[in-house]
Amino acid sequence: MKLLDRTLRTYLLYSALIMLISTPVFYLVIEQLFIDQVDENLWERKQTIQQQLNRFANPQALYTWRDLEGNTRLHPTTAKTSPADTIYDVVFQQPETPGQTEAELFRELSARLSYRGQPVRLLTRISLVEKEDLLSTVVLVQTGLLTLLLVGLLLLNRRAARRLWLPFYQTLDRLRQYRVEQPGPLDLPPSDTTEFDGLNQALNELTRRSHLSYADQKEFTENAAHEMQTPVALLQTRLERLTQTQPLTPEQAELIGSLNGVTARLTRLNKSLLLLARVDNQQYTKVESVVLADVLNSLISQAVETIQAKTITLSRTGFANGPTLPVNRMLLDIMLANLITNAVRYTPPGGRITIELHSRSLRIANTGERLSIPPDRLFARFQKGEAQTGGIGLGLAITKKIADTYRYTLGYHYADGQHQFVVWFG
Amino acid sequence: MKLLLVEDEPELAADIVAYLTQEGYRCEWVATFSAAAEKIVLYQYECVIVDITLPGGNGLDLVRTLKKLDSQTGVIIISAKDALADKVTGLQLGADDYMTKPFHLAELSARLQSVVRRRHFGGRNEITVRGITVRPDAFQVLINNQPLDLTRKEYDLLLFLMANPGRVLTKEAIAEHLWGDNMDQADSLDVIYSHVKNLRRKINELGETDSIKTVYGLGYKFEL
Repeated sequence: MKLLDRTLRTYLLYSALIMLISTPVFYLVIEQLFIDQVDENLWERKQTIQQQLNRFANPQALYTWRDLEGNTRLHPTTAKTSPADTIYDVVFQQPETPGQTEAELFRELSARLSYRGQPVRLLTRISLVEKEDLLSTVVLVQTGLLTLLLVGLLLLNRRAARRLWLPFYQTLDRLRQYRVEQPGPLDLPPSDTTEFDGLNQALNELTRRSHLSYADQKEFTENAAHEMQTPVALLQTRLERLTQTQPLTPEQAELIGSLNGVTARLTRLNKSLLLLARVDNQQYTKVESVVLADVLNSLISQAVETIQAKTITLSRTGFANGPTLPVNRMLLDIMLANLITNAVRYTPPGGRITIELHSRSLRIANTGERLSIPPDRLFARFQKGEAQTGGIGLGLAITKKIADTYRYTLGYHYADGQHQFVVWFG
Repeated sequence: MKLLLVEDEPELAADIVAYLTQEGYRCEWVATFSAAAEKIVLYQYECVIVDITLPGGNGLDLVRTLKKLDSQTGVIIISAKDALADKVTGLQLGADDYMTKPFHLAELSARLQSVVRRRHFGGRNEITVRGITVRPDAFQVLINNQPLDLTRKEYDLLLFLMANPGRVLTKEAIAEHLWGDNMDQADSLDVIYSHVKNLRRKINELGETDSIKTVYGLGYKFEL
């Protein structure tokens, strides 16, 4: 759930709660106000009638008088039984209004007046029908306004939040695309918002530092490999000259022979490290259209003697509809050669290698025991299995590096007793 | 056969000179760009072996000068940089071969012979050692005038051995010669053994005594 929706949800819940509570409270308050107003009118009416009571000629006229609506009457009373003034609700059927059948709710005042020293009881009432109309209108308007306010707030908030969080999303986007290999820091723009500005500055600094340490490490690898090159070359040529000296005892020959092997390993290690550094430095920029099937066929023919020697069954499928890739031929060669050499090396004698081409992917599978190292460490540098097979431990790292360069996806899994490497060509 | 080696690393130069001298070449050595520029103007060489990174200049410029002066001289570039661009430029300038350091001296020797052969006999020449005749332009091998039927790898192996007669070729040098750099060699050592076995058998079948000797623990040797 987005942060934006999270805050909005809280607002929404709070607003709904306020609306639920406020509507009845509002209703009650308005109703009370209305009734107070009616009561006040009744008291005023009593005052007016009291003042004008003496205008009546005799009690007879007094008791037959009605006001226009017939809502006010006077009754004879005795002082002793007459109760104090009270206001109460009463349901009353209006007889004077024709066609009106429904009983209405009234507010009625029962008050004691005096006419020439005699007590008179006043009954006067005001209809509360208007109250219902008024209340429903008021509540409706209030609810409408609140809803409007709420929706408006939501929309405004959403828009404002979008605008406010925009720098954040931009930062996030840039960060997702960031690769430590790329030159220079992330270079995020400054922001007006303090928090985002801080975040961007921290990220700029962080990426700058990680790129620096990456570059340092890369430079070191490259320099070390370069510096190693001359001594290794010397070691090799000296050993070659030593090989030619006569006479060699069998013991010397064996020692020199094993040194040759060691030097060859050292040479390969050196070349591989240099290659990794060069791929990192993007020194292989020349791109051409390469038919994958052709490269595979030529690599397989290179390994065919080893395959025969180990009586490995090799099968190829889908070579007719493999892809043509825009790629540096040498890098593709190295990448696939590593995968094929690997397959040949780790297939036990009498095993099986399957090379399967699809329109956008390549699968190289070979029979063999499950790995002793975790598959996610497989592509790391100098990760070697238990079997001592003479590999230098950089082949798959180089393969991965080249795949990354072209944004190919390189995957490994073990299924049906087979190691399976799959390359998706994007 | 006069050669010029332009190499700024004295120890490495000493090894190359020593090896090639034993092969019967007259090998001169200079360490700087200016010394080399002077030499190639003053003298004629069969082949110049030139390093690209030199004190005082770029070896590719030497190749340029050399080709302007005399196109008959063979050129082999040896470089510490395995840069494709340098290789392409070097070959376009007219260099015959490009080798990346570190390399095997036996490999250098074989390539040198191939350059000299191409330059001086137009490739139409024969190598005959101990009854075996190789015609490199036709990929043909004859023993007592009978053709020897070889696979490509067997042919390459035989030619490599014959290019370095009397010398021990290490298994590592042979592997690199046959499969190049891209293939990891760890697995190819056993394969070399079976190639040599087949080669010996085929030579024996045509009645020639086996000249390929196994040097225990080291490699193989084509005996003179």
